[in-house]
Amino acid sequence: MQCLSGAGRCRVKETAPAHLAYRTESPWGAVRGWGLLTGWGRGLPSLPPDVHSAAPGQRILPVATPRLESERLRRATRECLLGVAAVEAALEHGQMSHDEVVGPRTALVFASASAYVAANWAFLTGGTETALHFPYTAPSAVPGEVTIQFGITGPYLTLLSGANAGIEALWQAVTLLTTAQCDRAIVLGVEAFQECAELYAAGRWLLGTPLTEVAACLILERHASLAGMRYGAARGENGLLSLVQQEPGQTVAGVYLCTPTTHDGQRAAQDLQAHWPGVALSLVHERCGICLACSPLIALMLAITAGPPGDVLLLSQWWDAWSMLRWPLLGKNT
Amino acid sequence: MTSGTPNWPSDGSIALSDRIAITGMGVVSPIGQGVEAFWAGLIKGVCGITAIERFPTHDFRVRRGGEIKQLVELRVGDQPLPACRASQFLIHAAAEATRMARLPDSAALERCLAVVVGSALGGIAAAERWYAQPGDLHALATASYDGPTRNLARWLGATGPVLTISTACASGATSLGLAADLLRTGAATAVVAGGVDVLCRFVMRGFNHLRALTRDEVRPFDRRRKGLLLGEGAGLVVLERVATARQRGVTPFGYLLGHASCADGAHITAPDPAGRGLEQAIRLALANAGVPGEAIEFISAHGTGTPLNDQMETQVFKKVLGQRAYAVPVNSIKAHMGHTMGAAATLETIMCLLAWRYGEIPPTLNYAEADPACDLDYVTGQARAYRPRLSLNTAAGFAGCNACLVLEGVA
Repeated sequence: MQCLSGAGRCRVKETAPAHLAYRTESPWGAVRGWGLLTGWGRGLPSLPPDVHSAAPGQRILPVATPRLESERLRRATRECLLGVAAVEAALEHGQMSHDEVVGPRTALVFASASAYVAANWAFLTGGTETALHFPYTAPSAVPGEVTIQFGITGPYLTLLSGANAGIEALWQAVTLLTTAQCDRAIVLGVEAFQECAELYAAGRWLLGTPLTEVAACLILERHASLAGMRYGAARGENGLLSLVQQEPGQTVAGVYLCTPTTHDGQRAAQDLQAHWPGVALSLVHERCGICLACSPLIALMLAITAGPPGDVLLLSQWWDAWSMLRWPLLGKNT
Repeated sequence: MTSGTPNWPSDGSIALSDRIAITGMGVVSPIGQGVEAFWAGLIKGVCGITAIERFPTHDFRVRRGGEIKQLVELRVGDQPLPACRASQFLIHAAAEATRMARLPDSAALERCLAVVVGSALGGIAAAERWYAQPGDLHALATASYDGPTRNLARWLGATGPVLTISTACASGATSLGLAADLLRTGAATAVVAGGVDVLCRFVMRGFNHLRALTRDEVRPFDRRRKGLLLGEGAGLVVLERVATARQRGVTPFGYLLGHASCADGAHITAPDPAGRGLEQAIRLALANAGVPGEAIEFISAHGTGTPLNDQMETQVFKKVLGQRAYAVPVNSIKAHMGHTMGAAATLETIMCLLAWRYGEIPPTLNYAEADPACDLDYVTGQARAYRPRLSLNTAAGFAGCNACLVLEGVA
């Protein structure tokens, strides 16, 4: 896991009421810290420069199941353990204690396209005939275990709009922060495929490779730069272009494309380059594989560490729907 | 009949044009399909709980539920309906809601029409069908949680955001809150939002294992209450800014003034006995609405009929509203049709607005014996003549999900 010494320490304006304070000094703007566990390892440095040469022909890259010393979690699914471990990693990265997220002023927004599939499939196919298993078929079981583990009682929801859920979760977290419904928001994504490998093999026409298992977490706090955040979504054949046409291209420092297949990504990249010649374009699947709802979270981590300051566009696709988030990085709005 | 809000000015603190208006409503429920049939069933005390016939139940302790026996064919356009039952429910409810909101006549809205659907089960019934008879892989792909939402968006021709959420049995309230956020942040001009769930062996098997279903009647807030029964249905509303509704010449049924969804952080299935998450959700929703607790005139409770939930909810209402809680009528419509899971809170939202419109509060069925731990003014026996302008709608679900909506009927 990447951890920058001293980074993430922020000061809060002492004159403002605590619940409305804006962080004024923060190396990553509204992002206090992050945690990333993937089939490649821990943290951004573990991601290869190019996934296809790093894992040729592999369909699924499983992430190691975290070993958590908690009797309470003995019945929890692998996805729940991944969620808890990602939040732990983000707290460590942001140099935060558990006490800082306990209580009603912390929000948890969970996003996933797949974290419920293994539990549902196991229950559906009859392998787990117990009362203990059924509650874990609910997609809210993963964030539920996280709220219990960390004592979070603030705003809380689970977005399941396929691969677009990651951008929606970031938008919702920012909305909760800017409307003062919370002081910090944990955005958590988990994607897991290994336990239903045959199911994903059957659906290979829908999702590209490698499918990379991920638990990704970003901890956000209220920051002046969030005023420049913009969310948009459009469905249909011209969804992508109708979204970016509304954005002033000269202020875009970079575009991060998150698509469910390599083919979709390449086609979208062509469209974008025709619209914005010379724009700095990153195909997120080339760095981490297909991570569905977690891709935009990883993209934001990559954007923060890559610089330069300015606005980045995160774009994700799921079926015929596109979601976009314009995220101001430090330099312009602070 | 009483009416009026003693502690809240009629002009309110939120500028009228900034409010979120509800301009259309659509219902598919075990006690009636369509808003008017649903309302008639609620007021007359119709019980839609019957023996489940659509799938085998021989191996379950409890074989009853709020099953919709036949989906009445509404005018839903020329497109063939998807095979997925949840999608069919949604499309029928959307056909009614959008017609009521006169959305089909508003071509300009289509460019920014969003869809937000909450569900506890998503397309699991379709996955179950696929597993029993493997066939089209495309059908399996649409059996995911977001499958029914995508089918609805396609049917509506929506070109804005398409969101699927799940906060278990609070999903139908959280989805409306998310829709309001889309409108307030300018990400959509109008939103078709609500909840859906269908009965299937998957969920019946699960609750059978948990032994959470009662062999008795569902008796919310009654001393003898022993548990819940499940139901199925869909509830959808059309939300838009008041300014947009005015421009279109549409009169709202009511306003969604405030909303919040919060965590218990306590237990994976049971509600927090202290109700911390629900309390926080109510407080945040009231703050979001700019409405003091004393102004609330009616509470549509989650009221599942489980011993723990009803007691916890009662305690939380008293904690948040203080002495005022004893003067506020409370009801639960779970005994009419079972717990319709993801659809429940949206159906209850629609009920709140209809209560204002018709000046009656539907009764809580099967209530006869008072429980000292549940000592509020529950509407029981028969409908009560009362016109509540400001309502609170609460919901809760597995994994410590809680949600609350603050609603206002249009004067």
